[in-house]
Amino acid sequence: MTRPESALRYLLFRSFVNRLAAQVKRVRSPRYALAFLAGAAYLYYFVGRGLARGFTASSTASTGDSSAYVLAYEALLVLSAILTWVVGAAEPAIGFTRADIQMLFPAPVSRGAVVRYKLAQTQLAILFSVLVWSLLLGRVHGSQRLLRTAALWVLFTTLYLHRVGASFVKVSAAQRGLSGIRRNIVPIAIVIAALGATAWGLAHTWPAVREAAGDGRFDEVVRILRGAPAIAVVLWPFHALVSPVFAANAGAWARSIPWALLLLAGCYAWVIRSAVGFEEAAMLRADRLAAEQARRRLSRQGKLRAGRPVRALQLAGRPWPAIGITGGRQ
Amino acid sequence: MIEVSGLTKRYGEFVAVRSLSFAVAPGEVLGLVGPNGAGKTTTLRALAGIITPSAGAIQIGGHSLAREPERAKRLLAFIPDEPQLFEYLTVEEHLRFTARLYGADDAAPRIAELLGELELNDKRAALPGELSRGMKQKLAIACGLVHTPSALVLDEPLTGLDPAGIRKMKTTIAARARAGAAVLLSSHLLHLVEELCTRLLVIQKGEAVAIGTIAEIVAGRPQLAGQGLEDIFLALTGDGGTA
Repeated sequence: MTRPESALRYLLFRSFVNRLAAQVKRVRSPRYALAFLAGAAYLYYFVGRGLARGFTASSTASTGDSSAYVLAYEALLVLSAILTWVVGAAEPAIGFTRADIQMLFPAPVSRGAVVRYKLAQTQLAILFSVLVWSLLLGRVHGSQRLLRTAALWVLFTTLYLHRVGASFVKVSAAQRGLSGIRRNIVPIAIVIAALGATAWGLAHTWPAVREAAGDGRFDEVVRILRGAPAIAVVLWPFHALVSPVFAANAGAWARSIPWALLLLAGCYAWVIRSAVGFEEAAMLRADRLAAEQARRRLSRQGKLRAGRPVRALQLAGRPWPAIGITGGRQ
Repeated sequence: MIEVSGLTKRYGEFVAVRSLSFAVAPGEVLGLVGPNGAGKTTTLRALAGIITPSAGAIQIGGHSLAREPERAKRLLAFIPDEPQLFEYLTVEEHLRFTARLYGADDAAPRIAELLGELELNDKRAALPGELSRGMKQKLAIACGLVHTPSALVLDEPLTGLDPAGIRKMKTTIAARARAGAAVLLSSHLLHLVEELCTRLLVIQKGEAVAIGTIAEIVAGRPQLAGQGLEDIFLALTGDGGTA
């Protein structure tokens, strides 16, 4: 008997091939060919030319002192992690389509397998982000480019998994109340402990931070904050994820990547374990998105209809003015 | 065999389905009827495993949908009223995919048979975007039948089909029941229900108001004797007199 997982791999592969074929076919039409050329020119203007010049400004990130970059990206990651937990409705961060819901949810396939399929499907978008960021972060040579690309993949995939895991916890808590919270007690406890440790660390360093900030010594503010043990512990996962991206050489990369991979594996295990009863929330989300899409379509049609006619059409007469005004549409 | 006992679905304060119990035996076609908003789709979605009941138990072929979901779902086919298909999978690939998903080995002859039976042969390489509403519905039906399920859950299965398609679908449903499948059919088309179903389950506001053959339902309500199914339905659901 074939395993459902092989069906999901088949779905992924065939959808990818057919989509590619459809897009190639579409580019053959002049309208899409023009749009494609415009897109390619845009990309070349903003990315290609920069690459040709060598990204002189941002190349310091890879060749010189990268601690400022590491810190900046760590701060961004902290902000993104906080937003993941605080902002957003209690619905799965995985975008299930109505076809997924109708074809996969009633099928004899485990939730874990469905989640793995959707994570694999997201890889295309993640790889595109990796490509863009590896271009934006500046030029590195030879094997180091590969190492940075791998580190970026680990970073983006872990962030995505974290977002999915957090959304599952929120869905579970919203649907099941106390029992949902009890079921996800470990991640919830980690988040609360992290917030508590940050508050504690800030309270203890506040006088020194205020003094340094008052003198305009912001590098000192950063040093004090990072020196506080409680804050350093909270920041460690973010540091572990960002460090391999800005590793100065292959040795530094090899020393830092295992920790990032460990975090990736941890997040993956968490997502698979916490994938409980998300079907209903996914269905409501897909219905909401479909309704919004339909509303937007109707609103666009309404706007088109509301436009002032170029010329009032007579009820009788030659057909040509009518064809001209409607553009031949029925 | 489909067995539902005490099925309840709440959305906050609102109770969509309340303590619904029924069974569909192998070879039987049970018609699920009720006015709009009665809880039919909620019941069918719960049976298909798309939504989780707030209370109650569902068994498919003796397997609990809650405790052994994969075993229970392997026996089931859910055919919805509005077909949602994968945008970049062709007609034939949809069938191959569904056959693999349900572990139906050597499905090639069955796929060929279904493509012919539902007149999809010419469209086997077409993507859903190139299909009419009726063709999409036929494909959804074919996907539901490719693994020869022993329990069929159909939500308005004739929507979008042409007269020839409707006749074929009716024949298919009857044939599946004769082959031993338990069929639960929800439809507003009372003539279809009367023609195909061996028993009826009438629900309103999430609760069962009548279950049994038409004769059994009428036997308990002498005022309905001699009336057509439409009048019986309207009387039971309070839209056309007293039940």
